[in-house]
Amino acid sequence: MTAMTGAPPVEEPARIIDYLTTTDHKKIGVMYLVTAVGFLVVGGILALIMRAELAFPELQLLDESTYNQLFTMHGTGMIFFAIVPLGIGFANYLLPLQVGAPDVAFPRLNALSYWLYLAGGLVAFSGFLTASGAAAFGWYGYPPLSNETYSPGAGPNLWIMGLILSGASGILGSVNFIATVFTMRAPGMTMFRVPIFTWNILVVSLLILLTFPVLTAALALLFIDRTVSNAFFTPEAGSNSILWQHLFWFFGHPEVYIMALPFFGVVSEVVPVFSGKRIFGYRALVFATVLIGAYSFSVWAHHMFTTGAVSNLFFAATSFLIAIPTGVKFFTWIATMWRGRIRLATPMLFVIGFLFQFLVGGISGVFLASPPIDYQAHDSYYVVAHMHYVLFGGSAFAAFAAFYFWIPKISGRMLSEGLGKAHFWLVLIGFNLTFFPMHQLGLDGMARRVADYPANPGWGETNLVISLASGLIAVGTALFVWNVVRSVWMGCGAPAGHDPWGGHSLEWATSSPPPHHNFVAMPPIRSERPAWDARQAAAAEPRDG
Amino acid sequence: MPRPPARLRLAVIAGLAAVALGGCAPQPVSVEGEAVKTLYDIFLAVAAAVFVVVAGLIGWSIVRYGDRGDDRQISSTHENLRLELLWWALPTVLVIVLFILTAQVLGRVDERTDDPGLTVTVTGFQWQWRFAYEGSDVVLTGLPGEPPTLVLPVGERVALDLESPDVIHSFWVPQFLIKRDVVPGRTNRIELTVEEPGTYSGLCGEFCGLLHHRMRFSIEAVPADAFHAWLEGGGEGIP
Amino acid sequence: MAEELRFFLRVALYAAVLTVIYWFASYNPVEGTYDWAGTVLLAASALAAAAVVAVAAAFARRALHGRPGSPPALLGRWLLFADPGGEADEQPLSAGLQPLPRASWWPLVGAVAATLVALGLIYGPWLLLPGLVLVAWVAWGWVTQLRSIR
Repeated sequence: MTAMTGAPPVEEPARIIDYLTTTDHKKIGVMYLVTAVGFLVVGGILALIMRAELAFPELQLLDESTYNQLFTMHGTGMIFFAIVPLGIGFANYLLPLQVGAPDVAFPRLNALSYWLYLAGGLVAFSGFLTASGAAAFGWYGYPPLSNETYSPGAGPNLWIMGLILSGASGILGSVNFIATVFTMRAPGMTMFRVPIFTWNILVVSLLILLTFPVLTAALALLFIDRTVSNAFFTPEAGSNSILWQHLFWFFGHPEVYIMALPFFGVVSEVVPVFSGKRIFGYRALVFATVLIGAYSFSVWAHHMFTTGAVSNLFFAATSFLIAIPTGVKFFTWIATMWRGRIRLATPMLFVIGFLFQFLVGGISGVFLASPPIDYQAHDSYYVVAHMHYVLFGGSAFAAFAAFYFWIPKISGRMLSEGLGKAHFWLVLIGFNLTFFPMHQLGLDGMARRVADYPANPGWGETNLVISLASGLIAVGTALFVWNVVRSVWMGCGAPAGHDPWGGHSLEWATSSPPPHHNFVAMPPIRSERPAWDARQAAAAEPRDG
Repeated sequence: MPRPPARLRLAVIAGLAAVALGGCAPQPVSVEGEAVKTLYDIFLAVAAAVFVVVAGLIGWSIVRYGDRGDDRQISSTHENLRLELLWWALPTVLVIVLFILTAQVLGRVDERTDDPGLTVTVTGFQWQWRFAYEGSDVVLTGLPGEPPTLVLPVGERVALDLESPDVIHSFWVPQFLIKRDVVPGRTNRIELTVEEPGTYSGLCGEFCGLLHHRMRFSIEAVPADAFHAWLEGGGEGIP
Repeated sequence: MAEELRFFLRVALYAAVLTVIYWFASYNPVEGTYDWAGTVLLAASALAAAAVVAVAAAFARRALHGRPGSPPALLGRWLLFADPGGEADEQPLSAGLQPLPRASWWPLVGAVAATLVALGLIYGPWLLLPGLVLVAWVAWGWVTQLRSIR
């Protein structure tokens, strides 16, 4: 263990061993982001295989067993190992910078979080290598289907352990973020000067802290059910399978906000910068964020309207409530753009895509919050459309915006605007052609999670269009990966300078990439946008030589 | 100023098209389905209005306030209490209205009568359905490749008791606009009145294992007298 | 009380109120039952947040009244006086920085150990036992490394 006793780090190109042993939040953030994009690509490939099967009625390429593994691991991979870690990765890199700290509060714990996440992903996906294949009961694994009787084999056990490992990673990570925001802010950085992105991460961390343990406990109980004997989730054992749904969705709905809030934060950072204005209604935005987090604890059973075992009226009421702070966020973003000077660079394009698509996803969410409508739409392609409008059209689009926005900070190199715009248009068109028609398919009676569907009039054509359009998403995403490889890895991108966009928060007041301790000098912090203030002050002062 | 109105119009048309494509619920054939469909249509109208207003505002700001390289003044307003109160109030009013409408329809759809005319026990199991008519020996069970047909009378209130011996399934008839989970260890009941005679397809809505997609059935809605004759005749064939 | 503690206090109060509302709202008139699962989960959330407040407040008291320089007192100061007061002007941060932990192998080895334990629970003691030994070793190494940093 030479690295443990070694000399202080020297500024030189990082070697593999540096990454294996690093405790630097910036390196760990990059590792999170690279790994998450890796899982995003893997999950996308699984989806493309599914779409190839669904392009025509009847089974052509796959059997049911394979198909069921594919959609299970697509959902699991995207939710636990792609979208959530993308948010965590950006938080890792940016949160200490935004509050003016040299690192997170517990750097070694932070490294442990990353390695547990990677291990969890590998363990969950290793189910594909076992004789009976990966888990095949959907990403929310309802028992009794997920117990030993109906899903034997090692794949489901690996799925459980993978999620437990990544859950532990999330809990440690959230402790770290909360401690960092609460204890390591730079002088002058009061809570109401903390950037919106960091506020969102704070709320997300709290959601993780309160709900991931519930998931971990539920998974542990399921594991005992599977390996020892059915005791918790089956009617034979005198219990019931609805209990799992309560435990799972008590985690699972806040999880939706764990996947959405970081990206609301991204949008709240990108919109003001590219509108040349300060964010409109900062305090209202913080309040709306906290409110969304709070409400998310009271809505879990809107995933259970059709079970007949919960108070549908109560959960309808609480679910409708969430539309209010979400609507406020929209108006705040619009008011920020209003009478600004909007530059349509790639980050802003993706944010505009986010705004339109998340609007669709948010509105279809209000439909689903109404139990009578949910009786028809639940577990149909309508839900598939809704969730992808939220998680792909929303979160993933904002994640792409974040990449185009912050990669210049992370790497010191600009990404290609031309490739970026091609990426944007391909994914925008591909995404909407893929997922919009699914609303109608669902309402017409196409259930989700089916390897095959009846050749009803129009269904074959619609599914063919969807499958073809999903190819556009793949091409667009490939362009993105190429853009990053070309600009950053091969070093072809133009030098970014410390502040290529005219940024507002503290990360734009240090070099790109930032030095080991993040800041050499700290500008005065008198608002939520110290970098902007510093620029104004510099412009007002006459230059002295 | 280079043609913002044309682009704006395009944005609005695209928005309307998006909403129009947003989907129509299928034509309902049951009394309860009718209520759900009405509710859905109201939601769709509200959704279309909200989408057009919000998307219009977004589109307008992008087009109108786009950077054209000029030195136009940027507004420095970053707070406006009246405006903010307005946009807290608007969605609040909207969701209260939607909630009240929802509560009314939910009451009708989930209404339970003490004594429905006909009770059928619907058993969903991997990966078939069985329909047992209460008060008679008629039991219809699906076989692989031969999905069963649930025969129902038109114009009579029917109760369906949903039961599962294995995993969770879900009883879904898209044209009734109703879906209810079939949960082992509990009996879920739905009640409905079919209005239109005809043949409708039903399926399992909750993923239930390997051959989930093959777990389908049909519904044959026939006039009440034909139905009762069929039931008393031992449920042979399809009336 | 520091703003940070109030944050958790509000979470605890909110969850407590929600627990009560939910208990009554979850009444199922058909079956005559209340939902225990959700109520217990909400109550547990309230307790979890309250525990943070209680522990932090206890440390804060120690910080004010305890022996200065003792670990609880240090932790307490750290929790209590977290909100940075005043305005900062251009000041070099690197001068007053606490040393950051050096590169460490323990996080990676720790994750490997946890993975071995997880896989050991599936595949048997031949994997579980080495995993547990590794966990113990990591714990020891992690703590002793902390001392060497200080």
